[in-house]
Amino acid sequence: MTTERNPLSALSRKTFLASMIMLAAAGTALVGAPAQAGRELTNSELRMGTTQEFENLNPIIAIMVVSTYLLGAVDRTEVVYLDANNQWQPQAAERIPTLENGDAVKFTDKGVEKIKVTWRIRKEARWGDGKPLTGNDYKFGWTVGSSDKVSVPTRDFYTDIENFEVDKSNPKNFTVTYKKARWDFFKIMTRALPEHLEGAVFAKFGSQPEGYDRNSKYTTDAANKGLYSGPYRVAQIKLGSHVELVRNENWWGPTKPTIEKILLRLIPNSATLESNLVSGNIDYIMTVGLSLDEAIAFENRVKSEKLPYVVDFIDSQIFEHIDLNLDNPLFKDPRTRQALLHAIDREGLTQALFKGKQKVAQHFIHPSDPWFTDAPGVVAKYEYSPRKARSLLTAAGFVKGPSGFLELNGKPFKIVFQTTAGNKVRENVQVFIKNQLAQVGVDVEIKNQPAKVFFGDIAGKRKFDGMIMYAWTSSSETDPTQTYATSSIPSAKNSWAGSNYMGWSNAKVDKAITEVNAAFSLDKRKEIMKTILSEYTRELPSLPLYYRASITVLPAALTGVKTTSHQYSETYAIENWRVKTDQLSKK
Amino acid sequence: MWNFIIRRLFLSVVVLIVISFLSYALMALMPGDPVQEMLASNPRMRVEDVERLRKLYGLDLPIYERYYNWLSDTLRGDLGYSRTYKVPVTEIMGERIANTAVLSVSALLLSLLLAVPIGIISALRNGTRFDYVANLISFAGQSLPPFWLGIMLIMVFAEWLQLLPAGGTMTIGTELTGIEFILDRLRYISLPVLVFTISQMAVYVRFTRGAMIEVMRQDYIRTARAKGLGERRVVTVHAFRNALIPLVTIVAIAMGNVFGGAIITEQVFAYQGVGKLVYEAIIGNDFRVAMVAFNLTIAAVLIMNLIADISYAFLDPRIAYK
Repeated sequence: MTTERNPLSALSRKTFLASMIMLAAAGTALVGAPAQAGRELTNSELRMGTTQEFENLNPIIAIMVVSTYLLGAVDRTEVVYLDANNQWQPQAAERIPTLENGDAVKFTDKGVEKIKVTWRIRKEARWGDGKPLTGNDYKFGWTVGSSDKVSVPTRDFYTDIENFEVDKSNPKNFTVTYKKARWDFFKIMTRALPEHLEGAVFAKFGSQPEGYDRNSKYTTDAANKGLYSGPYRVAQIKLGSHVELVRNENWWGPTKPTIEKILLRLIPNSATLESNLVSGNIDYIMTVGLSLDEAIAFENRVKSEKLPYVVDFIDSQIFEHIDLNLDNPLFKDPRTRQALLHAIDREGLTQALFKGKQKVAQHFIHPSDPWFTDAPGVVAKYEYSPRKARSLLTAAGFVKGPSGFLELNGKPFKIVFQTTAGNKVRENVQVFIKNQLAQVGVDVEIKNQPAKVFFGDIAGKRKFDGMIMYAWTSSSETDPTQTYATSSIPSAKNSWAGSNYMGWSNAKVDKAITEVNAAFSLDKRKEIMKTILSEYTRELPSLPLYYRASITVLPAALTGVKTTSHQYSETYAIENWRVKTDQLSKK
Repeated sequence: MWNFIIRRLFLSVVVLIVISFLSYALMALMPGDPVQEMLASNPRMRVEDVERLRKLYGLDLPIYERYYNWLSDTLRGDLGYSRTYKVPVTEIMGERIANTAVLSVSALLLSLLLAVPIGIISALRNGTRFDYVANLISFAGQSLPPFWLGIMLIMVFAEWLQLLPAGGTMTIGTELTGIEFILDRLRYISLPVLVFTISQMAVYVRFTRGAMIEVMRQDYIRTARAKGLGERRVVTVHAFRNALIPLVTIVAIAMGNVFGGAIITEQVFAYQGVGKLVYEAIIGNDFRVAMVAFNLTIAAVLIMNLIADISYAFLDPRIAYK
């Protein structure tokens, strides 16, 4: 028999315990300093949060949503912008050129109708270093953007302009000739770049591929005051972490900003973003932050815990819909597509899943858009009616098969339904629609893909034969060419460009799109759009679902914020934001 | 020994080149190129925009040619330009790599500091209440998903107690120096380190405990005791040194994963590390960023394995390299 000795007695228990105590003590010392608890919201600093990344803020290269959001605060060189009421307003320009005020003149050159436009930049407009903003800066922006070596995403701002002349006697004025006379010429104008800072960079590196992009002062010297022209300028930018904006001493607008400093922090996880808000680390969650279900839950929390926040749901011009691949023989008959829409209780869907915060869409034009119409003679409407759906499917030749689902010429009516995997809201919508279509005899198989594969391959290369669900973001009176013209059906021939993923080809629509782009009168454009909307709602190449809500969470004490339904975010009026000192929120 | 090290280093370079090509090719073969993705989010892009950007980004070239261009740039010291962030790769990755290394190494050291003594005591007191509690905590630590644990800690320490910040890397907008800077960074890093430590510690406790139980049953332990050695010397010199071999292996693997293992923790705590950046780079086909991360990870794995192999010889004299 052996006796087990307790070897632990050999180890220094005291040493072990001492290390534990030291660790605990270190922890206590660490948390000794309070975090952000009790931080008072004042006009000295506003902290915002977002879940999405941003890039550097070169205004002609930046494409990320958060970057364009920030540009609203720091770059006001766009000649026009769309205000919160959906009206185009002059921004850096003194006024919007029109045929009526004589600043725009149509003329014909070699059989092509063109337009010559004179832009007048505001006298007071200047860069953050005090240098005046002139036509030379716009011409320089046009030159840079036109270069094949610079990675601007779209070049219509540059290539649609055939001539650019700056008035030598008054460089604030410049004249631009557009290759084609389009009614929306005033939207086709580049942002300006500070030639006095960027001119030398472009001269030195502009001939190398992405040479300008890499060496631009927006990349190498992002805190340079002279790069910015808005009410705020960038004091520090740390990609993947935060951007610090401070008031621009040379801001030329009529309203001087009240809030001294604005911080935008990137917090990739939305649950953590909410915790940061409640614990006082941030004060404001911008549009790209909480998803709809999270926002609804947070709104309930705000009410129940009486938190000092407002959850703002703005009905936005983001059109959520289902595209059908019209090359699929099952979808050839428009009655089949109409039946599918009748079979979906869209009102019930928005109530059940979104608490009515997102509105049912009739078609791709948002009610706030001047082109919108829901006139009964023009737009076909599809109320929820499984009975109508069944009868349309019968008329289209579908019969009940042995499995209980419908068949067409012996082929089962089975649809593969795809969207971006991991998007909880969309996945809930899919389940809702699958159940409803099953009730009218349509078998739906859900097969989702990561966003990269979905947009890059499934939608972009039309590698789907059933239904795909996603959204379009637009603004008022957006040219429908890229989404609905026959020439925009992606194929290898056009390098998979264009976004007519449905493969919808309608001669009437093609003609109307050409006409609407050339119509200078709003009434005429509205009339032409009736043709497009009529064809769209009758043929239903895609199934309209709902317009998405843009969600912002702002502190109750913050005033002057006007959230918008389009891509010109609330930062385009950031100078009006102010913390009400009589309503300071202590968190 | 030196021959062995030189041979292994040479082989490591070969492996690095082969794996870097495979990584590059696999990324290039993923569905959807960066221009196609831009197109999906920007319906205004035209055919000519798509063709121009593909050419500008070199996406119209065959994969081997693109890889060759990348390799020659890298060997010249030019890590390239991030297409996503529009800045040089070094600018966006440098500080983040350091942040991730600080997070991962701190968590690794802390977890070893806690796990090794707990594992040893647990083994020596096998079957006692301490052992049961240690086992229970180990299993719990291994089972708790880091994202859930992270959010719980944020709720407790940031929302309720308001003792620590809910996320971030450091206090923004302040110019702290010296001890204030260190304390500030410690406050931000403490919760991520805690989450990372809890999830890693469990593994090390289990390994240490298992190895120690095994070693303590060996004949040479009995011999050592028979020679009249003190129990402390038996445990620390004879038993623990031999029990270290499996632990060294697993620590070497963990060190190899230092740049990629903290993605979830970094994301939950908005910690400015390299994990999320790499994930986004792969998803967004930001080749230059992703390739730096891939190669660092491969190099770390190779180097740590080499170090582990060398350590074996020191820990166990029976192992010799020729």
